[in-house]
Amino acid sequence: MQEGYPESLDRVIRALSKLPGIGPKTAQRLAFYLVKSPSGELEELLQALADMRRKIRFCARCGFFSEEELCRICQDTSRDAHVLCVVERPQDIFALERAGFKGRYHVLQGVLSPLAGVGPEHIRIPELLKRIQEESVREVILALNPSVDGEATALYLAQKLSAFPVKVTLIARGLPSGGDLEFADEVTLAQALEGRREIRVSLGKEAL
Amino acid sequence: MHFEGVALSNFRNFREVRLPLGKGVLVLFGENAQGKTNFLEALFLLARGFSPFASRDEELITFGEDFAVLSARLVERDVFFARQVILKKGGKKEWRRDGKLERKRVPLPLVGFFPEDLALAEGEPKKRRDFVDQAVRFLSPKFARLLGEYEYVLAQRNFLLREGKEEGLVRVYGEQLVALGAEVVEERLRYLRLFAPFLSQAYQRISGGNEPLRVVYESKGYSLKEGVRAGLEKALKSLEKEEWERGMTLFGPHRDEISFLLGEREVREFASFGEKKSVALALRMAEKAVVQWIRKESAVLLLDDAFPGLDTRRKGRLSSCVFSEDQAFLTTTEEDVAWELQKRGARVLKVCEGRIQDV
Repeated sequence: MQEGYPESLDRVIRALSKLPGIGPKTAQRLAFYLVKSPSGELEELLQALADMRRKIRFCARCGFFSEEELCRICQDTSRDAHVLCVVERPQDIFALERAGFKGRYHVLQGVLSPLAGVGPEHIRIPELLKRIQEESVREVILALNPSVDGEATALYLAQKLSAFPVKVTLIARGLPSGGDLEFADEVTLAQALEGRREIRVSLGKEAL
Repeated sequence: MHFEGVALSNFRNFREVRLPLGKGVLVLFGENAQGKTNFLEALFLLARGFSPFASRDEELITFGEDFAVLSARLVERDVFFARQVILKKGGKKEWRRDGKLERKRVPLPLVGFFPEDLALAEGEPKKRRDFVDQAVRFLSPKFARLLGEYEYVLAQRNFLLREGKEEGLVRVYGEQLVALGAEVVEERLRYLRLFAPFLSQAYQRISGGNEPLRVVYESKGYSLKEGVRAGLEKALKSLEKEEWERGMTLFGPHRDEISFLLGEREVREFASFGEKKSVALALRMAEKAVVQWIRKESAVLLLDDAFPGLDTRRKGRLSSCVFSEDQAFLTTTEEDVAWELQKRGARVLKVCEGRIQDV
């Protein structure tokens, strides 16, 4: 850090610059703002952080953020307990929720990568297998990122799950809706072509 | 395509160089270690996006400086544009086209021969695989990513085989390896089918002889007879036991050999020095011909120290080839060669201690 800062300010800047997406410049700006922030604002932030620190943990069942033993989604009895969606990180659940998914989730907390020291026992695969035996799951949807590691993890899970009486599906890959074919990158487009499906049109009376 | 002008600052031993260029043959003449090759490297980097010597960016920046800037004015299909690359110490390269940040880049048509290319004819198989893998990028934009993924999966699989654990996961990586490997091989073969006739032609133009130069793709650990994918799948099954014993993957495109034959003689083992040099030159000339065929446009040719080692007739034929190019850059340490080329219409530039001047 820069010379001449009072030590306590320097500490804040350093701590902030460790956060993802925040470089030294942004950290400085945030620190300068916080130093002279209106009364109450800093206290509110400190309180909120302390609260989060104290209350947030991972759901004992699915691994999502929760303030109780089980998260709100796992407690919600109106959701379809037969469909289980497997994701890499808790934040992926927010995306799927926005997409209107109504089943339950299982967060792996990572993907397999032996070279990085992540084997099947290091992510929540044993917990997943246990849930499938104990709960009435009929379909497992693998919603992992389309990276090499995500794919390897999906294939590995498919292999493991073949021993259980559940249907295993993988989310489709392809073009984003509202996107333009012209601007799609060649990899996505090639996958969309590979995953193409037949359209069946049944002509109604009106059409005739 | 051709360069209309180039400006370098803090690149290798060039503090500040500005040079108007144009179509035709340009000869860079000078003693050793004056910057001739560095200049060709700069042109190569500007067009292709990487250094032909796989140098780290830091090495490209003049010692003691924090960044280097390379700019070029180019003409592609009668359209002028400017390309710039900024190399930063400890940072990422920044690319600009007409001043705007360029995120997705297509390699510009330029091919270079450097003395290191002799290894294509006589070096280890990896050199030849790398040659094809780099050339394929002109044909297939997805190839670089594909190869990267293949190598990544291979590393994961080899790690587990070496450690001797996670049988189920090794099987998963095996499946991915076969799928990605098949695509890698298919792309290489697609390229080589296009490349082979150009290679034979290029070699004939340099050697003047009738002995044809042929390419053979040799798969290692699997067979291509029933199709690439089927061959790889078969190898995956049949080699499983041995792979666990030896702790590594024993088949696939990372082990394949691409060999060149003069008549029935294998170049690597049986060719003379002059023949090997001619083969290496022919490989680059053919690479250029393919680029031109794909892009429907002329490519820039760089020849670094191409003449030594060739006999007089081959030298003569090579310079005739050069004079039929739209734009070609040559380097030489021999004054006679420079004057000879000047007489035939080449522009000669003297390179001395990081400065370049017309003679």
